[in-house]
Amino acid sequence: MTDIRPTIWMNVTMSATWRRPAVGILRVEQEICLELQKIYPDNQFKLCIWNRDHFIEWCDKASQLKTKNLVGMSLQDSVEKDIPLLFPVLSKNQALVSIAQGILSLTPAKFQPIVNRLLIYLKAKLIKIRLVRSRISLSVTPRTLLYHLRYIFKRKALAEQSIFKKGDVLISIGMDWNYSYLKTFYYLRKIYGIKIVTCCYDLIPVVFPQYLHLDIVEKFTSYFLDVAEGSDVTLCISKQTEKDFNALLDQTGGRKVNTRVFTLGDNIPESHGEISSVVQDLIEQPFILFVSSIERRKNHEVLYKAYHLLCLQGKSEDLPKMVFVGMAGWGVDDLLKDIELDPLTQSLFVQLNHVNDAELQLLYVKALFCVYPSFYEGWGLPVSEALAMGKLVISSDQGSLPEVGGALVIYVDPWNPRDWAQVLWQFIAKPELREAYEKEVVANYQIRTWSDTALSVSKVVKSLLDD
Amino acid sequence: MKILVLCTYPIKNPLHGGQLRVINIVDVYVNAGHEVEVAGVLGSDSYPAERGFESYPEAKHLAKLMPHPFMSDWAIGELYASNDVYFNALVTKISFTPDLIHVEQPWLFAFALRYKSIYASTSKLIYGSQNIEHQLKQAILSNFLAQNMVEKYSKLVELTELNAITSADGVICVSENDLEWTRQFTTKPTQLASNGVSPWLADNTALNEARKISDINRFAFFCASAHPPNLEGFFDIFSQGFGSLTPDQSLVVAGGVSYSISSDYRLKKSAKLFERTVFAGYVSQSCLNGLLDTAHCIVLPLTQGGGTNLKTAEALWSGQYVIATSIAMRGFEKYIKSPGVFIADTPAAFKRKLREVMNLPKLQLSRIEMDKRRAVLWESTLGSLPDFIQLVGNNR
Repeated sequence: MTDIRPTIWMNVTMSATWRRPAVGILRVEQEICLELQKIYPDNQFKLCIWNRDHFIEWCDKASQLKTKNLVGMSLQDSVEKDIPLLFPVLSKNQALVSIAQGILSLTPAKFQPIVNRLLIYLKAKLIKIRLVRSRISLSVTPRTLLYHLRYIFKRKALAEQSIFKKGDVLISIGMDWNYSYLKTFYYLRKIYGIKIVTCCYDLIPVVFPQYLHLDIVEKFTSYFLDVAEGSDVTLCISKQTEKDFNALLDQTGGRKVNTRVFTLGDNIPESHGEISSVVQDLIEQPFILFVSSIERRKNHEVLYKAYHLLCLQGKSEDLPKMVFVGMAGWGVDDLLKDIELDPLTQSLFVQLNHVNDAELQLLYVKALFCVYPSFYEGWGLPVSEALAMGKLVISSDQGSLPEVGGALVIYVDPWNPRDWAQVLWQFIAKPELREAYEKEVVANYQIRTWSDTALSVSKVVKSLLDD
Repeated sequence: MKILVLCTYPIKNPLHGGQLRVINIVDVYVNAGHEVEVAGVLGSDSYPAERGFESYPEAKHLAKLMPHPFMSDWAIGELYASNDVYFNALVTKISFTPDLIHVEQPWLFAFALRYKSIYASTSKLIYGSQNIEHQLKQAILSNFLAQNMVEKYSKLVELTELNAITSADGVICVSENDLEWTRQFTTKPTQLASNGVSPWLADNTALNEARKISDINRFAFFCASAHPPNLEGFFDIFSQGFGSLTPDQSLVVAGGVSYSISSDYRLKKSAKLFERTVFAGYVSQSCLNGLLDTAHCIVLPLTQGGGTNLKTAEALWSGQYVIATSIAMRGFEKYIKSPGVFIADTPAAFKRKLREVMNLPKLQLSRIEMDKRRAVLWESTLGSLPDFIQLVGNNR
């Protein structure tokens, strides 16, 4: 007998094709996939990936996804991909402008007026071609009836090759902005009656574009509008993200999609790995831990300034090391240079790259406490992980951060280095205060498990199926 | 009466609102039994030559009076009033001695005063206002020039405009607001004559032409000239992301504004705006009729400019949903609460309303409602002009 129960599909295109060092969203996709597989019977939960222009079933088990991202990755690939790009990548338009600018600048001064005229002429031509193209595309449109017939046949053909049947649910929570399938969600929903669940992690590229190295406001606004247009429910990883997402839709006239807040797991699995000598040496001394990529939004600067202020107060001898775990990103060169050259603080900062899970776990355990002064987060996984490890956390009060640890976290204004200096010193100088707070954390922090996360996803799926 | 109409654009093949207004005024005068001659100066080198019109003056002569291109209309007025060669050239275009001179917009008013003093001392002068010109000019120039230059140039326009109002024997205004402002400066007769629209009928050819553009998708329609406030209004409202339309809906843009928008850098900066917009460019009257009849809604995103918008009359007469700013509804305030008409003054409210409206069933207006809207037709809006010019003509 044919099974007419709706199938729950999970889009694992990202996990199946990822060829770079693991990132947070990859982990979310894989953890939820593993947990959902435990919730649903085999024949009701299936994996799919995007294959050029349509989804196909992915027959590997979810448990294999975690290793899948390494398959086929040569050492050369990994090295090439990790080398930072020499220049930021530009849009086609910007690139053309840069080429033209380069040509004009390299032309000897006496020929510049001629080249300038030529460029003006070419620019006008390009605009004209673009306009003509847009009009040509209109003039070749088939007549109404033919158009309708072709449309119907196309739909039928698509329906025949579709792995989905009406009423199925498709969960897609990867880095969907990188894939072309996102634009098909609207049609899957509208034409085929597939129910779509997507995820919104944060709106940083839209809300704080100044912290990114490229102007990608348009790309991400477009992505969020597609998400809203193509989803039955969009999961948001915090109330802050939900608020930002709805505000964007409100401001742009985007579709008001149903949203649900769900929390990410923060249970750190036991990991076994080699501990490097650098980490071994480091944990012999007291240190404060900040786990985050080094970028302007994360506000490493306020910690540097706070330490500088404390040193000016003559406390440098008593300051523990400040350990940054994470890669340096865009826009922090000056800060890293300051830290390197500042005679007051240069011996106090340590930057660690490529820390494995076991080392990270050890660093959490051995740290005096953890800090997180970020200007904005969509959630703040390092805060919840630190709390899950029973550590005291001093955090910024911006974005979603207060949602993570509630009253168990000490909050400081991320814009105020003097406040940070004062609070850091308070917990450095008073071990008993630190311990008291740690006890509170251990006694009261509710660890969020990935199975809880998956359970909340399954509840959303159930509500869609009940509809 | 022999009536001379002076303006700065040809009117035989009208494309923009000003041209349409003048040709309809001329029709009203002719239909009332007057002999009418139209003369003037082409206010742009893109206008086609037309009998009675001087060609666009040499740039160097205009530049001597005014270097900024957005002030060329003012410069033309100065040139033809003060330079004997230009003055005489325009005089030769006038074949009779008029009883009444209707100057549309203030630019050629100084010419008209000089012409009257020399050749037609008994004729009456009517100033046909289309805007509070200096305020509009100030808004346009603010996009391009430093504040001190904006103030300097708009002051020049204000003086020209006040000269027209105070020297005219009668003034025609396009909106209550403009009328109220004008009455502060004159005790002479004034008349409200809003902008209007001619009724149209879209045949099968028109509908097919329209469908070729819209790809039979449900679409919102924006048709406007390349007049800078149309461009600015579009981007004031639709910048910062455009989420109002689903992937199978579109925003069709037609008219001169189509070219300005499609070559403007802001188009691609606003998410989804380029993706959802179809640029039709200049379209034939038949195609325009088809687009008006097949559109689901007509948008009027005007955020600056005075006067009244011809396109508002067109939108109201189309019987489709209309989403407009309060500025776009100037002169048509009585339709603000009409069925299917929505006012939204902020970008977010406008975009939200557009999404809402695009998902409503097609608007069906009752015959009674359409009859109420007959007042937007030229025959109604300009209906009082024959009596008005008679009044002005008889005034001693």
